[in-house]
Amino acid sequence: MKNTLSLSLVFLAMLTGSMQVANAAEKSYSLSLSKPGEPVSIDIEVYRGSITLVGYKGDTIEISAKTSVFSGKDKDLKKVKAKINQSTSTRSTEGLKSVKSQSMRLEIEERNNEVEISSEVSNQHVDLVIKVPQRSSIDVELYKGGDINVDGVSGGLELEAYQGMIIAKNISGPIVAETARTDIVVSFTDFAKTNPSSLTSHMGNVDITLAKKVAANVNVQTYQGEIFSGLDKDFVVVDEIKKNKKGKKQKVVLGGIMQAKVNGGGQVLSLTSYSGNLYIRKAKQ
Amino acid sequence: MKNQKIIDWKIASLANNDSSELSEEMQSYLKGNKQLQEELLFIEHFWTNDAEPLVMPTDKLDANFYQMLSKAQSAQQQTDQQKNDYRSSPQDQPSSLIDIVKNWFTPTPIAQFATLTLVFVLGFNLNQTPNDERNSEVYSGLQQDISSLTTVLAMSMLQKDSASERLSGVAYSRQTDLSNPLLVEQLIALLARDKSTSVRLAIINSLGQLTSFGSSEQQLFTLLIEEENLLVQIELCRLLLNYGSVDIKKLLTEQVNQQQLKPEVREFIKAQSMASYI
Amino acid sequence: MFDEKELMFQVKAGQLDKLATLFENNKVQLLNYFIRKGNNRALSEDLVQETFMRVLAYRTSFSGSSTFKSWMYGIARNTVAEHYRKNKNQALNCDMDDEELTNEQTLGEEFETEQQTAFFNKSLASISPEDREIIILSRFQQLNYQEISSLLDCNLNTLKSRMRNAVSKLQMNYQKLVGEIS
Repeated sequence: MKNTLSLSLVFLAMLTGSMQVANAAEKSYSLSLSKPGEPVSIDIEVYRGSITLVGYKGDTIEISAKTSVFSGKDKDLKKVKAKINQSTSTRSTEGLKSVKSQSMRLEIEERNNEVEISSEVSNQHVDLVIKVPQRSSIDVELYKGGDINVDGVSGGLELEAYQGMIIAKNISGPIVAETARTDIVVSFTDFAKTNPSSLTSHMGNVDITLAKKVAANVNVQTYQGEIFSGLDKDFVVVDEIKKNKKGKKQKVVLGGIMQAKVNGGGQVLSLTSYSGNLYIRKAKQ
Repeated sequence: MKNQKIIDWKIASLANNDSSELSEEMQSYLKGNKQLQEELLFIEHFWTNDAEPLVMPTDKLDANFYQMLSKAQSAQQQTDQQKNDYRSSPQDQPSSLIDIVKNWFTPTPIAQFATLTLVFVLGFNLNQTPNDERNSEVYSGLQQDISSLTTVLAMSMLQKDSASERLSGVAYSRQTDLSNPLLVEQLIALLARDKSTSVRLAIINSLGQLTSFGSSEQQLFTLLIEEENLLVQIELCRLLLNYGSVDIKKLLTEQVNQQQLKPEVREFIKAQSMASYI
Repeated sequence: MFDEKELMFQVKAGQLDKLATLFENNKVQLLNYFIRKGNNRALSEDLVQETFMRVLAYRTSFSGSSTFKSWMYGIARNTVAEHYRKNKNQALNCDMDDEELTNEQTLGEEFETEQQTAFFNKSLASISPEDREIIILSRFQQLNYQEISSLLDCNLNTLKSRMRNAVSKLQMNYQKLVGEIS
């Protein structure tokens, strides 16, 4: 994806400071698009931190990044200090202060409305708050730390959080989201027809709220969890049994897929969890 | 029961070309049983009654069939051509669904035919009963053409970067009833390496449509054993338990006592095999 | 002559023209199969068309594990089931009663045989669809036990007992009818 024409900006903020307080570095940046008004795709990859995305009517990408040391406790800093004293370095540290490196390295690239934001330093916790044009399509991968929060984005979303939750509201999809042990909470104000949506968690719960006008085929599947629905339509088993064994229909017990057609049905929205519960709620409007 | 055996014999002699004779014991039993003889007579009459002539098909049936066959043959030629073009120029592959649709409107014979198909599809209720004589010929020819187009579309969507587009690819694949082995190959390859659990689960669900797995069964089983992802492993299990061959089911049930599969999956297999109605 | 299984493999391999032979060889029996199941002629012809369309579309799934006829009737059954699923509100198109009336009105030497045929038909119509299906496949479509058990996916013993039960029900209904007339 990268080529010689890309605009590359790299932040390096070095802060020195007292060892007693965990310092947070905060930086803001405003990124303009090569092709304003046209579709935007944003790719975000953060090792440790939290990501908040807010859709707005503007046409630039407003990034606010706050870093902190992920443990951030004095104990640790003292440990570090102690280590330095015990280090086998042959150089004298007399009269020198130990410098806690709090570099925040955030890479931001933009090419023809394709934006890439990545933070790869592992001992830093990066809290990103990004304002994006409402129409943006966004792909987020967050490995450790906090949650992914999305609000008011109408483009396609592909979200993966390996440790934190995924919370999205005022969206219309398509959305494909995955967590391991944490919850996925999504509130749809509308539901896109273009491509299917799917929310999958291994051990976490999946909790969705559908606005009154949403039309969708909601598929639910959980092996050990329970399913709670506030919909008018009932969920029915749809696992297609192509072969009838001995003339009888084969029942599907654990983990079968059930479906409810909301407002006559529409694009597919799949909710899957192994042991988490599934909640399907109707919004008040 | 002697009666049952004799009746079975009689039916088999008529229905299954079974030329075996009744044993002496049975024959003497039959001689003394008037009611049973009447039953056998009824069966004989019913099976050999030929008073009713067969209904002959009209010329229309022939005409419709041959028209469909010729459409299928030309669609096959065009799809082969399209596939060759598609494969030989990877750089020209359309990068989005919009591009694919745009390609359809370019003035080439294939695209024009595809456009015509689209027009028919949009303006044509495919749920009309086959009773509708006016449309049944077009309907049957269309079904063939649409199936090939859908396959090409499915294969293209499955290669997209975005997970939801790949989900669409799986959805299109289902519409083709997985009749194209290349498509099935692509699905299984994607199942092995896709990074999105959602896509992988959707593929596993679609594979349930296959009437038989054939050689893919071993492939799927190997995938299952090596799988790290709990949801994928358990869904593969469910797929093979529901639709797999007797051998693979046996193999899976044996896994209950082995350590290769995750404990949750082993529990699942145990529970499924205790279900009595399968 | 020719081997239908072999022909179908050729169709599967891409020689679509070979399907014509399979069509010519089976169209009459298939048409009558649908009619015997209670559909009128026009619908039955459409169902034949639809079946062969699916034979063509699903050709890659033909494994040869049973005969071509067995596989084809499997598709035929699905086709008609699909049709009724899509048209739930439409009543079963049954012309069997009409045919029967004509038979009963015929005078002459053939009267008795035709009346018997009418009774057979009426008895057939009055047993359950599952029982009727087994009898139709065996007696009329002339599939052997192997083909039917593969088609219905049941073992031989089960098939034999289902066959026996269907015939016994058929006979019961027949006797009731005959009893009513005489």
